[in-house]
Amino acid sequence: MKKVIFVLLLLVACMGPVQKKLPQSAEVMTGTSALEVSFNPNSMKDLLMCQEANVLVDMKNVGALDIEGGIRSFILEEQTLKPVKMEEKQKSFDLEGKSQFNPRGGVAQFEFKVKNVGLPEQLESYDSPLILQACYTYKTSAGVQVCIDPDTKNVNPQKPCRAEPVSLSGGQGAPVAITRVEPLMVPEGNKISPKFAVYVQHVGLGTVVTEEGAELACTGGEESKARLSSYATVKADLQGRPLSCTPNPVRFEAGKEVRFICDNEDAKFGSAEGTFTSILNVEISYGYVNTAVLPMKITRLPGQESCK
Amino acid sequence: MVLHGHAPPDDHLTGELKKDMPNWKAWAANFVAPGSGFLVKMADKFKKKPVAAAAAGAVGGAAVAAAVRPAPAAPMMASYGGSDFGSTFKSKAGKGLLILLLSITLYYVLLRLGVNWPFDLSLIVGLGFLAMFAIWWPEQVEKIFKFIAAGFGFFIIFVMSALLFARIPWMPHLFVIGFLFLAVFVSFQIAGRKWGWIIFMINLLFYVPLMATPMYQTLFVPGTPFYTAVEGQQQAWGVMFGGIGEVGSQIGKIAKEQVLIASGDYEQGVEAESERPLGVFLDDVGAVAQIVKENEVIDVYARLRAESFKTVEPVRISVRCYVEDWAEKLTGEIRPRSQFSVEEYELQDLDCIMSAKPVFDNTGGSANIIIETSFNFTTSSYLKGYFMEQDRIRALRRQQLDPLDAFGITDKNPLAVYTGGPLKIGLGVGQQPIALLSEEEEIQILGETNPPTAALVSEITGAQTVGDGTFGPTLTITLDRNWFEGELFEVGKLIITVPPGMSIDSVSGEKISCPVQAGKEHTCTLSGDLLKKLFTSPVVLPKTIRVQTKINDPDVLLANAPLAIRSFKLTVTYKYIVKKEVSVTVRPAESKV
Repeated sequence: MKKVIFVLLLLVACMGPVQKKLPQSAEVMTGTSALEVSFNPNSMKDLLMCQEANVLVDMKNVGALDIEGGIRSFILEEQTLKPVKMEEKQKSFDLEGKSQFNPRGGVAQFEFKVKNVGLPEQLESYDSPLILQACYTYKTSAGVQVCIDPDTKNVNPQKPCRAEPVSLSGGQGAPVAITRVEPLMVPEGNKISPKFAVYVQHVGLGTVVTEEGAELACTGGEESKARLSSYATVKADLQGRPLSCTPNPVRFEAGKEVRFICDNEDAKFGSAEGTFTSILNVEISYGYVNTAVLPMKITRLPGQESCK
Repeated sequence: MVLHGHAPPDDHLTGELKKDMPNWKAWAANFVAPGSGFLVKMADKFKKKPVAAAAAGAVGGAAVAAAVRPAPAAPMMASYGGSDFGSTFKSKAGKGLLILLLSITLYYVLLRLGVNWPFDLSLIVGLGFLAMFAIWWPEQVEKIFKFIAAGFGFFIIFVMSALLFARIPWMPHLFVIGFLFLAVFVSFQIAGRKWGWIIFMINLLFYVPLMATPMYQTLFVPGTPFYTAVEGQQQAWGVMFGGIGEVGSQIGKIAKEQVLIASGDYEQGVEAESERPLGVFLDDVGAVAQIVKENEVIDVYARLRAESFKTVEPVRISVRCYVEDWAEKLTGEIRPRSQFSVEEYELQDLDCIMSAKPVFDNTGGSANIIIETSFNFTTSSYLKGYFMEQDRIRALRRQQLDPLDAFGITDKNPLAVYTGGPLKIGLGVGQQPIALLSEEEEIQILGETNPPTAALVSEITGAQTVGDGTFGPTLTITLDRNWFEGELFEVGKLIITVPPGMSIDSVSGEKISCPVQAGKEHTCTLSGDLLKKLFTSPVVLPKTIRVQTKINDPDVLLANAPLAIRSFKLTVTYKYIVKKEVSVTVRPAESKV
């Protein structure tokens, strides 16, 4: 009995320090959001005719990647509301993502001033939305432990792993999540050519656009349809060897899981290499757009006619 | 005797009582509310008891007193605890005389007291006489009551209940009709099917003409309870049927609107929130006297209430009054004045003074006096439009996303917001967001060598083409009635404003040219012949016109943003007429009004 207690105490003692030493990157690489954009509750959403209003915007990058060269852009009904400083209407921004040193991600707050330029005749009040868009490029990265198993007929019952689907839950710290990977060992002669079916899904609250379309999504101008479509380019490698993925780019549809298959024609494994585990690295690049809306109400004071 | 007797009556006695005695209880009920004796009798019938004490149902608010059937004189006296009125009063004749004597005594006593009684004291003597006759000839009196109740019971109930409920605002006429139905039911129960129908028909023949024609004006003296009751009822039913008619016309109007909406010829809107309703209203319209002699004057009064917005031009109000169908010949004078100019809010009591003589000479006595107010009024309407490039819309739709959802817009099909007043103005620009097609796409669609016309591109893609002077969305404007009453006499001015980067090309196909300022809203003011052509006076509502637009500068329109929120505006200045009528009767000078 004493021995058992001693062994248990030993185990508990050993577990403490091990837990503390777990790599923080595992927590950083989780979640299904990147940038979170919202209007601060202290923003003025009710303003009087001809007056200015201060609007505060909170931005938080809770994703695993830093945002660089993002664009934030305000859309407003300029016949009624105008930015006090026109240059503030559209600006670029950078925001640090989650990391070991900043596990909560970067936070930023900025102010935007709008002014009412008058109300339509005879109206006592008028509702007009203030829309904020944040557009940026983002990536989803994951290293998935997969089993390379040339023993497709299961001759060796003692093999270290089996080529079975790997599920990934909780996201990878980005709005596009890799949900599962299915390793497929395709026999080619005496060897196998591993292929990986990677399932991804857009789980964020924003909109996916192409990487090139990220900036354009927040700005006007004539654009090609392709750049604004929800396509993402994918990259994958296995043991440092790049894989070719099809289809690429991958097109997302709201609420649907999409699949692409990655392989390398040159990568073939035979019984000589045996069954082993390896890391499949997958990287998905895309543009992303977040939107926030602040409904604003402008009220005319009795007797007010115009703002001149 | 059950109610007052000390000793329980035997069956024999009860049977006699039943046979010989008049139904006092029913009589009493008939005194209080003629005709309601039926109810009491029916109650007795159901109870199948010779003597019953029951409280009859209230008719016209008057509780029918409980009554008992008294025994013949001698036993009756005995049953009253041994009290005896003396041998003189033991006979039927003596009892009748005693009651009459008591009633006359009571009349004098009350008269002497000098109290301001709410009823005529001579009524007591009348009741005394009635009681006396009822004791002397109970069968005959009951027959007379039956006849009166059957022939005129309904009408008497009607008059009494109408008078009683006259001051209760919750539709007294409904109570009256309720009582009449009850009376019909009771008459069928008591008199049987055959007599029930006869009674019903007699009353129907009397009641319907009375309610539907001005017959009462000749039948009854004005100011009497009968006259007041019938007049009140007619007015109440008139309001009710008028309301039903209004509901019917509203249902018809909604159905018509739906057909027009489906065919794209009707645009809707919602009225803007306003602390006070905007417009010109005639409230509390009435006549000082509804019956006047021909040598007097007719005074019809009203309260004019005008409410407008300060930012628009003053409301000019003109008031006149005249006899219906005699608008030119029989007019009155409006006091204190017939012209007003209101900037924001004004309340004015008006009187229409008119000599009764010409009214009597031309109309023969009955006339509807119309108070008519015409005023210029301004109503504005606004519609939000969302503009996006076609490419962007398609890209979002491919992601199974609604283009406006992607921008967090919840009001995806905005309705026009119009300001209060007699007219409502609906605006529409077709499907939102309004798609703008790039020149590149125009070329892709139809080929570079064969440059497309904007109309063709628009027809093929359903989008508006972007480029120099290409077609923009068509703004549909619907003018419709916002008030139940009144009519749109003419449209004086129409100001249409489209967002910066756009211009107005034509209105219902009529080319118009208004100066365009780059980067500013484009406003066109329509007046004169074009408006007369578009809106022929008096304007039949709803009226829809279509404004064709052009997109001159898409960059200005979109303002370097993926989505542009822009408003279309419309201001209409028009003349509107509202009429209110009051019935007045003019009688000859020598008549007793």
